[in-house]
Amino acid sequence: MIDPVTGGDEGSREPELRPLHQRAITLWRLTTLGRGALITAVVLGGELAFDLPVPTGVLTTAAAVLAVAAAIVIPPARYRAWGFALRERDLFLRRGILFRSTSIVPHARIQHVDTRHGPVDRWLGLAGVVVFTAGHRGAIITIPALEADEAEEIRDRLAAESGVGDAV
Amino acid sequence: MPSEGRRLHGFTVVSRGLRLGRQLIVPAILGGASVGEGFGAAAQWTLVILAIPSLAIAVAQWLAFRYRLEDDELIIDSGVLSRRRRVIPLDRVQNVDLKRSALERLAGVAELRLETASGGSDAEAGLAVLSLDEAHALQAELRRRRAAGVARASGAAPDRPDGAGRDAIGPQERSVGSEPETLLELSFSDLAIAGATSNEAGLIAAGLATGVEILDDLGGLRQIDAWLESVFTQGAALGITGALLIGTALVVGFIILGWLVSIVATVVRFWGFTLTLAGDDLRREYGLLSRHQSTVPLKRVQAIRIEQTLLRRPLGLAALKIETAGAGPQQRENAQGGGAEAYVPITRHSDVGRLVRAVFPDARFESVAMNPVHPVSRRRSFVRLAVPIVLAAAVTAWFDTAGLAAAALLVPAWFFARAQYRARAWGRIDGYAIVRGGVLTRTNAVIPDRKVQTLHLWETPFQRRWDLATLMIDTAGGGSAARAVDLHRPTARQLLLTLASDAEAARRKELERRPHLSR
Repeated sequence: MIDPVTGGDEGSREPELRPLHQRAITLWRLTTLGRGALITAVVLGGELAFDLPVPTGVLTTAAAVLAVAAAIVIPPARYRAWGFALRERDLFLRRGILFRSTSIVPHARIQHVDTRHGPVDRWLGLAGVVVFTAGHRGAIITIPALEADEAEEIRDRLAAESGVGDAV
Repeated sequence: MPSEGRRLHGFTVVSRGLRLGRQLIVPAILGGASVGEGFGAAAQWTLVILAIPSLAIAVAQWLAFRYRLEDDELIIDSGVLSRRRRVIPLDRVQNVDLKRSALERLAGVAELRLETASGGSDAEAGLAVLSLDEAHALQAELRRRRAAGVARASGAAPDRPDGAGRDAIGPQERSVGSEPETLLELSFSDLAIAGATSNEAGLIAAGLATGVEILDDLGGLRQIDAWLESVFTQGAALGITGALLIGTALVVGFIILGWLVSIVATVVRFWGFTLTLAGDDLRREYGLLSRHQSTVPLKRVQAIRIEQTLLRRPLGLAALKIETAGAGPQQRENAQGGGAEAYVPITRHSDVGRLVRAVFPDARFESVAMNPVHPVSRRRSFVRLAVPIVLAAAVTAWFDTAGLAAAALLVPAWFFARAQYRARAWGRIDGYAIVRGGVLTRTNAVIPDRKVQTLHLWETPFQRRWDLATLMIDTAGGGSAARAVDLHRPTARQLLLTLASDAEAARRKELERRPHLSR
């Protein structure tokens, strides 16, 4: 509906979005499976501990199947929904499969920028960038799953652009 | 680390002790009484004995606490075992509050609180308690040094070439020496009306009813209990109508009582409320028993909320919340008195413009045209209410066909949805965004572009279906972020982009004009 950026007044148009790194899908599959395994274990424990009206194993199997299904279906959809753009004067992000949100962080409002390397991120060679503002709601914004070098580059760039003051 | 600087007033220990007493001994007595004789007494003694070392710690903490002003910084040393030094640059201070509880007034002492934008759970620097003279002296000194710091940072301000432009900035650049201007004074009747028209009256009534119930459970109110019982038996003797009548009378009684409590509480809390503009600072003073004096630098104001409760709207009355950065979530919960929001309990609607302009002198509200949100919003609001009503009606009808009567709630739900749609609107004037909403309490949020932190657009699956979106404008202010709910999606997207670029531009302009802000 709105043309991608072709020069001119960049700020008033929706930018062309950059995707996250493809391995984000793997990262989210692993975290979803991990969480699913935890839930399955709790369900299994519950089944063993209490006498339930359904045969033992049914609920555990259901939980495991749901976890695997979620790990297959959700991460690619989430990957497709994610996009961001480093614009001249702000950071633009869009994310969310069902509940979609679009955020803009003006550079002058960035308090500081971090990169975040979780254990799984590191193993996959990924890193996230975390942007902090002085606001209250939606004040901390994360771009997850970028290539580690790219994340550092983005962090440095945002930090450099934000060097205009932090007083509120 | 050498301990220099001044100590707090000795009354600190007394007030700490009294607070301990409130926290430990009162529950001990109440709890003990409800548990029963033998065990209760033991519990009481345990708590009393526990209080003794705490008192000793309070004395040690008082001895260890030192503060001093050095150049542009307030330095506080504290801590008995692990020493802590806190250095607060004065130009980062958001609010300065002076508070005196009834007891502190008798003792001639005061609490001084300084807040910065860090948003921690406690005030950045709480000096509790100082002698009154010391507190006033420190307050004046803080003001003087902050002003001096600002003047120095702006350089040779008076002979800058853009002197004409400075006038447009208005009071934010007024010299500190200028005469304070009284913006608002509230009389007894103003406050009584404020209490009578607040939405809280109903809440207080509910609170009172629960309170009576709890006391009843604790066996504290045997007489009331007996009285209620006799009333109920008499009512029951009259049959179902009698019981209903008694029930209604009790509810009405609680509502009237809650109303009275709300009036008294407001009058006591905000007694002698004055709002003054002194140089670059907005000052409030209020309180009958505990007296508050708070100072908010104008340039720190993040947003203003104009709130009108249901009862205040026809009377042409409103309350104002002047939001500043610098208080944690815990404080925001009960921020009515100070901290994150400088609260103006009531004012005539015709005065609102004058007050807002005192804070935001460049706002041109005459030109504002409020835009309604998308009409589909009404349908969405109604569906959101209707779904639980229909479900509840269906479930109750399963047991008894009379349950279908619950579906009658759909009628008020439809009116509520319509009211909600009419309440929602947004507007844009040069340099400011205005967002309106709320049925029970109608809120107009005025947000300067230069204070916008981040902007967000939310789209739920249902909103996407009807091509709607919610725009959220976040500031560092104490209240919740302003939301323009259910805008037409293309409008919302365009507004998001426009606001973002205006916010960035306004922020840069402000930094160029007042470079000291960037420090």
